[in-house]
Amino acid sequence: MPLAATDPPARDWRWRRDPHIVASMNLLRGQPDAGSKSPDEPADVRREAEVFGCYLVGSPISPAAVDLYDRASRVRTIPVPPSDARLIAFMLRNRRLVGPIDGALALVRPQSAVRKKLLLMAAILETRPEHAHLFLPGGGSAIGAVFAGVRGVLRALVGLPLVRLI
Amino acid sequence: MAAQTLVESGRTVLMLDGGQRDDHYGPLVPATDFVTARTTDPDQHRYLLGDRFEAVPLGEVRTGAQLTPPRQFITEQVAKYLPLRSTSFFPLESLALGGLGSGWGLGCCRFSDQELAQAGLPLPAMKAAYAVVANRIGISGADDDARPYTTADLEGIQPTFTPDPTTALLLRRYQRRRGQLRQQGFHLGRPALALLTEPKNGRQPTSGRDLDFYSDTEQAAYRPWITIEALRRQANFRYHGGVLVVRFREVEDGVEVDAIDIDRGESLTFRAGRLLLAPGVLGTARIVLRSFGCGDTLPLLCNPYCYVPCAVPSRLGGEVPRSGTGFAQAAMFHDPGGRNEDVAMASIYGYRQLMMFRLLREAPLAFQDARILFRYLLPALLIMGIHHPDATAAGKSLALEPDPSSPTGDRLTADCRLDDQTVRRNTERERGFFRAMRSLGAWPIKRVDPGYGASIHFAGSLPFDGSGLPFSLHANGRLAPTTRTFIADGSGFRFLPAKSLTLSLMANAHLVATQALHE
Repeated sequence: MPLAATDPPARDWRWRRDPHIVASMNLLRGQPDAGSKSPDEPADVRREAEVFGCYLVGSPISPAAVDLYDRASRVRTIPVPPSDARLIAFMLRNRRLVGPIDGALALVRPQSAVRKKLLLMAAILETRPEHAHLFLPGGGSAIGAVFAGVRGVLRALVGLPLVRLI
Repeated sequence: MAAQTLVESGRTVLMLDGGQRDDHYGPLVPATDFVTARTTDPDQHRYLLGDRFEAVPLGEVRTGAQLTPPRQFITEQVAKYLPLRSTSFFPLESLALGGLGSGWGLGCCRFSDQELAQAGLPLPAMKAAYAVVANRIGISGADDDARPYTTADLEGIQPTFTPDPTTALLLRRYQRRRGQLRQQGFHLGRPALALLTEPKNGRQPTSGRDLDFYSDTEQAAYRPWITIEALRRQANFRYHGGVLVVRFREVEDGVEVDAIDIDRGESLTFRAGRLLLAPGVLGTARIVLRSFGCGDTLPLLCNPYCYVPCAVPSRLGGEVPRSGTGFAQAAMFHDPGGRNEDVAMASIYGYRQLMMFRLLREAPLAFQDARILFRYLLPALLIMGIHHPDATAAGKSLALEPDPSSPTGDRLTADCRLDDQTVRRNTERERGFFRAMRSLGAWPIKRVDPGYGASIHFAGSLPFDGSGLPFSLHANGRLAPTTRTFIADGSGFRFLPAKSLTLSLMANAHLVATQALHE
């Protein structure tokens, strides 16, 4: 039966992120409120490059790669909706959860701004001589490939609730 | 090809051409091989990703998305000057110097006698034209099971290049299963390519740098600009680039051509004794529809196309040699009747030059895990591009409609749908290709349909029929009912075989030019 216009709104018991609570928790943790500044400020972009780059290749990336990401972010602007801005802020604060969130997004929102930023970073790293060997075909082992596949699935399982909650 | 034929006959020729070219990225590509460039060149991002990072696919993938930054000039100015509206047809057009040939895959196939007859092309004359063109451009190939479908009886074919290890494995396995596969109508061999393996006319043989999608410096791969540059040294040839031909009209003693200067937006008019149009099927359709000033629709032929990544498990994690080429490594033909008249073709490629980032986003995995998996998978990966033949049918048409925002005041519209029977037949045929590849140890992973038009093989908009009715061609390529205008591209073909098209387009252009000289 459709709801009449005068009916009270149905109570939604799903967990919702209260911005005041989040801000208070951030302050308690000694972290600034992620919503208080634009995620595209230069310092944030460079931090994004460092965190995303380190995640992609497993070690700190070169300053030249950070510079390129900074430049690319200005040339190929990626619109970031609020949900993705929250995810990016969370990923920058919690480096170990970059992989799970990426894995979950690959399944449920492969065209998300987060994925596009990670793809841009991956493309840049692939064209840096110091990182190129990690992208050239050949090498690796069956065990490594199986490990990556299993890890990818586990990461997605861990990341799915995070993507829904953040 | 048509211009060269006319110039060699001593006629004075003016070529009007879109003329877009790359002067920006080409000089940045180092004179080294792909792997050395990747591991040593700090500026490689400029030609691999582009100065505007335009090669990174952040949006919807469209036809031509695989063009590398040094090749993106091929589509320069197209959106502005060649607007097209369609929800069912996704072609690639070009205003490049020499047109789409600036990026063609070099595949060379001579249409069989039966295919030539179906297309409405004259058999003995085309046979001679193929020989002329093959001698001009230089073709390499092998004498194997693919040859009847590629160069057939053409002479002067250079030896083929060494295939990559995964394709070499496929070819060895084919030899063991050859009888069974041939019985099912499948024939596998090396492709014939306009890629030199021996020096020719000042051009160098391929050195295996594996940078073919980025640079033409060796001139091992035939590109039309090579011919145009050679013609520009001739006194009876004049090249006028940077123009878009809009329409023509026949006058008492010749033909007048209206054009637009692409850089300045000015209107230009040229006069000539005869006009040969060869801007490609869609470009010709625009010009002819405008020139006849009526709202007719034209038919269209276009090869249905899909591509299928396949994995060869025994090559997982294998070694990839430094030397190689990104062009097709093998060609598989499906000729169920054995008569070379209803043939589908699959070109088989390796994957390295186009970089891993284009694949990463396709995997439903975190990028870090996908990167590790793809490094292991890529040596075993083959991309099979399947082309189907196309015949005239209802449901495929082109028309012009007004568009005040366009410099020409109009835009092309295309409505192209395959009937259910054709779709079913093509699907069944593709399943046959999958089975054939599996029997060779190459496992199809996923069928990708890039949309109708992505084959970039077009024909049939002004069919040869000799009736003399408007929007048809006489057997010699003359546009009815004109007296001085000839169509030298594929617009006249009444049937479009699935085989690599460009050699036949060039042979037809040479033939039309020859016939225009004698009319």
